[in-house]
Amino acid sequence: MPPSTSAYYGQNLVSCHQCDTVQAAGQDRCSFCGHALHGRKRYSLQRAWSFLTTALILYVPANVLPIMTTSELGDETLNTIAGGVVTLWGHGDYLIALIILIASLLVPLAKFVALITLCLGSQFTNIDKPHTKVAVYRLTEFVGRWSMVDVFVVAFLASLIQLGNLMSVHPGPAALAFAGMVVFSMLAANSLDPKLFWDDYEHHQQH
Amino acid sequence: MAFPGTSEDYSYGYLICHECDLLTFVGDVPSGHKATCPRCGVVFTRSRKSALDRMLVFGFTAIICLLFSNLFSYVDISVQGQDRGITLLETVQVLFELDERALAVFVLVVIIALPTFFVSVICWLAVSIKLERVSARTIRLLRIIGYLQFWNMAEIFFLGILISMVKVSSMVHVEVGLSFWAYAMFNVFFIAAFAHVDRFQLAQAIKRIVRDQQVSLDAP
Repeated sequence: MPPSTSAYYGQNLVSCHQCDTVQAAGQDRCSFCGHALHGRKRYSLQRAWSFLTTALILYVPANVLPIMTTSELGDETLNTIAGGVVTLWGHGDYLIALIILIASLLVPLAKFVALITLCLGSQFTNIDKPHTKVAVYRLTEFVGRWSMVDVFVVAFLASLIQLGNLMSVHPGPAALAFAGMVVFSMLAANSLDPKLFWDDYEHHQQH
Repeated sequence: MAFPGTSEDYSYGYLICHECDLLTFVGDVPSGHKATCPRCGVVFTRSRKSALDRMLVFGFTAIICLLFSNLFSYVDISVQGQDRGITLLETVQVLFELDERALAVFVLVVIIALPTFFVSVICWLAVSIKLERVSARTIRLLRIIGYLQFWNMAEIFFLGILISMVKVSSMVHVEVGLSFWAYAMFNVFFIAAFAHVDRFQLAQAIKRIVRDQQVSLDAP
């Protein structure tokens, strides 16, 4: 009967990051595939914090600067993300306005709050609700990529709508800032090791 | 049973949870079933019926669809007598011409390069396991698959196209081309191929081949 419900907290056993083979810790390389062995993600919190800070800094230009410029018969209009949502809502495209509002504005904000809470929690106390933490973490990892949709809308419109003086669309500086923000927040979520949430779980349960 | 530090062999059938560090014996999961972590509930592995065959079938179909989606224009617009249509690669090309190089490279990588590479890796992996020709390189593909799953954004780009079309439909006349449907089908088959990729099952399959053939994998 194999041990099915006991944790070894990476002290005695580790699994290879490449082939998932479980083996004794302490070797440099995986006994099966030869990949370098480490139990946990290295520098998890430091990396998560630095990526998160970068993403937070990029969030400012991403929302303040125009994400695209539309010129129609000589008239130039600068659109920010929030401005785009308001315009779409005004046109009666409620569904699209909601998708952009959720994907571009609310999801990144919620993600920042979630990641900061998780990082702070792992930094100081570690005994609280690992089940909730891991659920939040999974949600953060899952929704992160979908914020990129606005960048693709801009990239696609800019390449499609190039009709000279009649009508043309150019990406604004916020497009790149926004793409960077999404990439860095994805990296932040990816560097945070959810195993940290469980470190004191077993110990805590015994008391 | 034996505990760590003793001679128990954990190299086959065991898993340490990626999310909560729990050691669990999973063993061979019957096809159509999944294994979840008893503590945190994350899905360890899903064993799907004829997963290797389906990876190959869906993967190859996806590649063919992607080729077709690059051949013709996928969206055409017309406004006041002016027409314009672009192909998938022209999307990237126009961004380059607009001097948005970083954006162009990013789009090229996440919507064309990575999905193509990803599907090729899936097919390569399925073929080498089916032919029972595995090496250290085969295992390295498992890790590459993880990275590619993380960075691929083809389906998000597709959502972006749909949103854009609604956005401009009030100003210009929009028509979808043949390649639009090819790209839509690419996304469907790509997701189908992707759904049959399971790292644990693939690693176990490779281990069974290694065990049966009594070959040793030379560490790279």
